[in-house]
Amino acid sequence: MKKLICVMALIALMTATLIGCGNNNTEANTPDDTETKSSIAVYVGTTIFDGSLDPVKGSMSYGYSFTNSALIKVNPNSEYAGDMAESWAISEDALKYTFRLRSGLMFSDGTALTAEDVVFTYKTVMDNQAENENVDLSRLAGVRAVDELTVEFTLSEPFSPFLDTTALLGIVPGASYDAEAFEHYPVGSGPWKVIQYDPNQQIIVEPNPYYYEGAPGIERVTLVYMDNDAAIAAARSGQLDVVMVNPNYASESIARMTAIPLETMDVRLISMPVLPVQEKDGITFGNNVTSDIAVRHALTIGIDRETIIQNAFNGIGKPAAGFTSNLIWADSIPVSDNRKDEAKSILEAAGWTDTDGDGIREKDGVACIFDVYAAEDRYVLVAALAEDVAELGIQIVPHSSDWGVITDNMYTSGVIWGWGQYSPTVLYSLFDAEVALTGGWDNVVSYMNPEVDAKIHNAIGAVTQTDAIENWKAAQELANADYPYLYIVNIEHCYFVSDRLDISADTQIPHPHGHGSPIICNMKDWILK
Amino acid sequence: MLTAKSTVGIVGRMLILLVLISILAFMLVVNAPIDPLTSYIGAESTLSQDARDEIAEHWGLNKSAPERYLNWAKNILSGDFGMSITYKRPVISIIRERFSASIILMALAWMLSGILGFAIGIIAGLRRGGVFDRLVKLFCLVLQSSPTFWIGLLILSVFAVSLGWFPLGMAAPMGKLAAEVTLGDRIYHLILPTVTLTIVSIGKITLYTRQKVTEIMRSDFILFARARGLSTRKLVWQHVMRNISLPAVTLQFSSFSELFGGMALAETVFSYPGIGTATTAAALGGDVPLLLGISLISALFVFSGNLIANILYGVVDPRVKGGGNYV
Repeated sequence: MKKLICVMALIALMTATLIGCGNNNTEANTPDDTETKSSIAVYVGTTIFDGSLDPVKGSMSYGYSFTNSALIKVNPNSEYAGDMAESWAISEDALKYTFRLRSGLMFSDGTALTAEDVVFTYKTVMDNQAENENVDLSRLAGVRAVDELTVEFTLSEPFSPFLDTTALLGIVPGASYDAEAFEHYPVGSGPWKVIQYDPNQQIIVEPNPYYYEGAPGIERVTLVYMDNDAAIAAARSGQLDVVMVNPNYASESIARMTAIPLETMDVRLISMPVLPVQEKDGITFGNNVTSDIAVRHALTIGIDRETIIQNAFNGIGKPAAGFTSNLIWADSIPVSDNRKDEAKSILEAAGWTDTDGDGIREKDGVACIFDVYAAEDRYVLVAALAEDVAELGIQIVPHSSDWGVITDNMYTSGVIWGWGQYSPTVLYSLFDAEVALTGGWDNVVSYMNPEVDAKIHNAIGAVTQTDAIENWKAAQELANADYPYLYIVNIEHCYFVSDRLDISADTQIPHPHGHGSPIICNMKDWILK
Repeated sequence: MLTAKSTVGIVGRMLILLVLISILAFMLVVNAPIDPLTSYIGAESTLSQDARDEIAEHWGLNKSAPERYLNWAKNILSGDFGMSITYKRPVISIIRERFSASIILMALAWMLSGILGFAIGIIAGLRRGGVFDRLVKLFCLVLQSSPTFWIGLLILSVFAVSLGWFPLGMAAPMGKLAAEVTLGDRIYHLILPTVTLTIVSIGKITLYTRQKVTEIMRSDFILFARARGLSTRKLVWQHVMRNISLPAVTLQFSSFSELFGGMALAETVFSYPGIGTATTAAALGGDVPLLLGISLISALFVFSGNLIANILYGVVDPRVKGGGNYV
C-alpha cells in the first residue's frame, strides 16, 4: 500500500507542475448590463493578437492604434495632422522639432497628459530600442519638456522622415507605466480602452470617456481571434459585424452583410537585378536577363495588369506602375500597359529573338528566362504574371518559398515585395547605392545612380515637408526610368460589413501594410444604424 | 515498492531526456534556414542599421550557437525560461497562459475517449461480425483515415452554423466580460469541442480493444470457462477485462502526446487558445527560448504519461511484481 501512496504522490507532483501553473488570470471586472449596450464583434485578422498592445514595444505603429494616440496622425488625404500635438515647428538646421500639445488632454485613467509623458515615452523607447522593431529612434539625440505643453526633440543628423516617426509612437503615461500590465491593458489617450484581454480569443474595448474628441458612440467592441474559415462561418451565422476576407471570398454572399473593398497604399512589386552576374565579397549579385534594360522596359509596358489582377485576386486591386497616389511623396505614374507590340519591338531591337522556335526569346545564347520568388500568399500573383509574359517571349519561373530561401536568391533572381507605409524611407531602401551590394535586405537589385542618391539625400536632409516631397518625387522619377522594379498591383483589403454598421468610409485612412487590421483605424467614427 | 533508488532512477532518466530534447530542439532551430533578426523585424522593413545592431545585441542573436545554448541552460537551471523574442514576454507566462485555457478540454476529451472507446471496443469485440460491430469498425476506420481538422470543421458547420445548437468555438461567449460569464456558459462552450475531440481520438482505442477482445474470446481458457457454464457477463468481468486493460492503459497513456495534436485542432477550429500557434510562431521566428520551453514542457508531459502507464501496470496486473523495477 505504501508503494501505491508513493506512486500517487509522484503522479500528483508531476501533474501539479503542469496544471498548477494554470490559474486564471483574467482581470476581474464589475458586471454591468450588457443588454442595454450597443456592441459589435469584429474580425480583422490575427495580427493585433500576435504582439503586445504596448506602444513602447512597437504595437500597432502603422497608425491604427485604438488605445494610444500619437503626437500627430495621418488624415484620410494622407497628410499629417495634429493629434495630441496641435502644432509643430522644425528649426532652420532641421535638427530641432518642437511640438505644442493640446491643453486639457487626459489619459483613459483620468490623469492629465503633459509634455513629461511624451518625454517619458520617447526616452523609454530610446533606452529599449531592441524591444521596438517598428519605431526607429536611432537618430534621436535627445528630447526634453520645455514647459508643460511643449516638447523639443533634437536629432543627431537632419532626417525629414522623423515627422513620420512621431505619427507612429503612441504616448504612454509616465506615472503609471507598467511594462507588464501594458502588454494587454495599455493606458493611453486614444479613443478606446481595453477592458478585457483574453489571449488568442478576444480583446474587448469600451470608449475612453476622456478622449479629447468625445467618447466614441459604440459602447463595446469585441475584436475576435479566429481562424479565417471559422471567422467566415461565424459571419454566416450572424455573430460578426465585420469580417476580413481574402479576395477569393469577395464574390461570395453573406446574408445581411455587404462586401466592401478598401483602399490601401500597399503595392506589390518585383525586384529585377540590374547588374549582370558578378561576385563581390563572396556574394553573387546580378542576373544576365534582367540586367538588360530592354527586358525590364518591355515587361513594364507590355504586361496586362488588369488581367493579372483578375486571374490572381478575383479582380480585387488596382493596377500600379509606381507607388500609390494616396501617398504624398509618391510619384505615381498613370498605368498605360498591355502594349504588347511595342514591348516586342523593344525586345527585338535589343537583340532578343526567338531563333529556335520554342516561344522563348534568346540573345547571344542566353534564353530570356528568370526566376521570381514569392513568399506568403503572393505566389498566385507571380503565376498570373508568368502566364501573361509568355506572349512576349519571356519566361518567368515562379517559386513559392519562405523568406529564408529568398535570402539566398534575392540578389540574382526576381522577388515579389509588398510595400505600404507612410514613411518615404522605403525609397532609400529600394534605390540608394549606399545600401547596394552590402548583403542586406535593402536595394537587392543593386541599383546605383548618383543622381538618384543626391535627390534622396536632399530629401532626407530637407527642412520643409514640401522640399522633402519634391526631392522624393524626383528620385522616383529618375529611378523608375531605369525600371529596376516591376510594379504590378495596389492591393485592396476586402471585408464583409454588417448592414447595420456604417464604417465611415470617408474617414478611413488608406490602409498601410497590415494584413487587414487597419480598418479599425477610424473605429471611433463607426455608427450603428 | 517504489524505492528511493527507483525514484532517483526515474528522475535521472527524466533529466537526461530533457537535456537531450533541449539540445535536439536547439540544433534544429539554429540550423533552420531562418534568420531570427529578419523574422523579428520583417523582410520589408526600413529600420536603420543602428537599430538592427541594437536588436541583435539585446537578444543575443549574434552570439555563437554553443554560447547561446549554454546561456539558456544556465538560466533554466535557476528556473528562468527566458524571454520570447516573438512575444517579448517571459516564456513561462506564455506557456502557462496557453496551457491553462485548454487543459480542461484536453483532460475531458482524453478521459471520455478512453472510457467510451474501451467500452465500445468490448461490446463490438464480443459481437464480432454483428451489425453493431460492423458499424463501429466502419466508423473508426473512417475517423482514423480522415484529417482531424476536417472532421472538426464538419461538426462545427453542422451543429454550430446550420443547426445553431452550439456556439462557434471560443472558451466563453464572444464579447462577454469574465465576470459575467457563468459556469453554464463555460460548460455550454465546452460541449462541442469536447465531443469533437473525443470522436477524433476514439478510433484507435476502440479498434485495439475490439481486436484484443476477439483474440481472447477465441482462446482455450474462455472455451473452458464457458464449458463450466460461466455467463458472458462474468466472463468479461473475470477474464477478459484483466487481459485487455493492460494494453489499453499503455495505449491511452502513450497517446498523451496526441493531446497536443488535439490542442491544435481545438485551436484552429474552435478558436480555443492553445500552444499550437505559439509553437509555430516560435519555430518560424527562430525564437530559441520559447521553442525550447515548449519542447521541455511537452517532453515532460509525454514522459509523465508513459510513467503513469508503467506504474499502473503493477496496479492492474499483480503479476507485474515490484512495479518499482518496472518503471
